[in-house]
Amino acid sequence: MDITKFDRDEILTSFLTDYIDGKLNAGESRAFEEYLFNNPKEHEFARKALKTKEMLNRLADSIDLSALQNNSQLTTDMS
Amino acid sequence: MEAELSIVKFWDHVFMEAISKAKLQQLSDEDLMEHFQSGYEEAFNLLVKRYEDRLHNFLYRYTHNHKDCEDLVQETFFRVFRSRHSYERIAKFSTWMYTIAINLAKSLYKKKKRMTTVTIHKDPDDSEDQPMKLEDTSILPDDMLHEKMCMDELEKALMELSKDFREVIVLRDIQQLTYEEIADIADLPMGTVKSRINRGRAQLQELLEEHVFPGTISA
Repeated sequence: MDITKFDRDEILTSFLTDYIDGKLNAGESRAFEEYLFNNPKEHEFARKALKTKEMLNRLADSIDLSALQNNSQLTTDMS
Repeated sequence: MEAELSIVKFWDHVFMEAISKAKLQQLSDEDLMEHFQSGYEEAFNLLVKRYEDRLHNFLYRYTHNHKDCEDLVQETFFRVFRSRHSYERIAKFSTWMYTIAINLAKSLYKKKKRMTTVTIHKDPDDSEDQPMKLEDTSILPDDMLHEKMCMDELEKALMELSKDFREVIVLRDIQQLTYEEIADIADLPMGTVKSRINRGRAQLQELLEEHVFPGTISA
């Protein structure tokens, strides 16, 4: 996977994180989307991260968290 | 003479024990867990000493109640004790233990919430009052099948991800912990946590796209 500006810039990473979490206000969101529009590599990175986040949310909904407690594969393998 | 010999043996035993305790203290959590799995309970006691305060502080953020925290810490260590053989070294001990703790805290929260939930009964004297239909008809069987396949693929891809990325993604997106909690558990700076989560998610998407259209993604 290509190195992007997100790998070198902590503030940019924080913006991306907040954008994915839906924590940016309308103005910040617009500014960040404009930034992504002008930076194709970062745009692609953000698209992938956002898409996966949505899928992971659905996976989390489908998993019984209490079952994880007893060391299911996801828990034991996770670090 | 015999008494002298037994005193020597006693001090020898005490000395050896002190040495092995000192050695144990230098071991990593995972090594201690391995000793504990082989039946050496002193290793478990050391793990308790290492983590009881940290675990209490960590759980306090969830419960805001010291009594609940004490119970949860005790229950967590009890489960670590009981499930010691299901722990595998591929997982960091602290991550495994914090996951147990967080799930216990969530169960407690749900239990408390249930206790304060008001049950709504149908009013028998009101002909307009119909029981609520809870069945979700928005998902058709085909969609459900497709969704199941997507989730299976996602789980497979998650297992292919490197351990560093998988750990933080599971804690954030499956366990739904805050970045601060993840930084505590994984012992990483917040910036690294966020960066790993984003990169891990992006890599996961590449793996998924590779599964669907093999050979079309450049690494």
